[in-house]
Amino acid sequence: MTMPTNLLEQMSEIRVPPLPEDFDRSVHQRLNKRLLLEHLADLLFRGLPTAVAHFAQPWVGLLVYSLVGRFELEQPDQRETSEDRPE
Amino acid sequence: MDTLLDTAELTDEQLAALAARERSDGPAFVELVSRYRERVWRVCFRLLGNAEDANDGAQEVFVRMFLNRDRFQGRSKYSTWVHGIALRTCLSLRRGRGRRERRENIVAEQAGRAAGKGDGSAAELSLDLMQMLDVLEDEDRALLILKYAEGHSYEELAETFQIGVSACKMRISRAREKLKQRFSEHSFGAE
Repeated sequence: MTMPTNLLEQMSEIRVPPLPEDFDRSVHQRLNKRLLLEHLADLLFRGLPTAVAHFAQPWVGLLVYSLVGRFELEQPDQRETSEDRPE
Repeated sequence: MDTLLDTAELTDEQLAALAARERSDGPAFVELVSRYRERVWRVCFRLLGNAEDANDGAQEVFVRMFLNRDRFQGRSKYSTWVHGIALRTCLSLRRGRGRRERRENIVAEQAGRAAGKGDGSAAELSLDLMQMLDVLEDEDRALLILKYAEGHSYEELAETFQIGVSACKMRISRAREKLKQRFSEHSFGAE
């Protein structure tokens, strides 16, 4: 096997194959896929919890109304306070 | 068409600032990709050793460039920043794939190329070097490749690897010493 005198200096002579023809399209597709995944993750982990938190109160209110016939469950001390209040 | 003409006249740093304000891969980012794709491809091929991994790596570099485009602060040259991304991407890809698998790919690829083109000496040189460099740590291997194959200066390497210039020189010197000790029959040059 014939070896050059200084291998490291000859490293730049190693042939690099040309860039694949569809490289730009592949980058674009990969980027689109990554952005789509990021948006979905954002929706799943940030958008949905926010929406759930936002709509939880009306849903709980509806459930409570269905079960006990009042819109809100009042604490006993709050009820007393409202009952004691002069009209 | 005007936009294309404008972007072609801007510096990399000016394009980076424009790309940071683009919501998608707009004209500024497209221009940056066209300026850097050959360089990034070359670096990825040299660091990863075969075309398939290099293609994967180079695509990932541009995706990371896009996703982090607003993090370029302009403290270094844009090319150094891109090389830093390329380096970290290739190192993480190398870590993620077994060395044995890589070496087999290289052997098969080089053997095929040598058989097809009759370019035995160049293929042998490439194969020998890749095998020899595999005895080094991934970062030291990358340092030698960027220094000798890509012709980066010590200053550029120090910025890319986020180390001092003297530390960079020392690591290259130690890596070369390690190669000399391991493969004493070959010459790896002097400082």
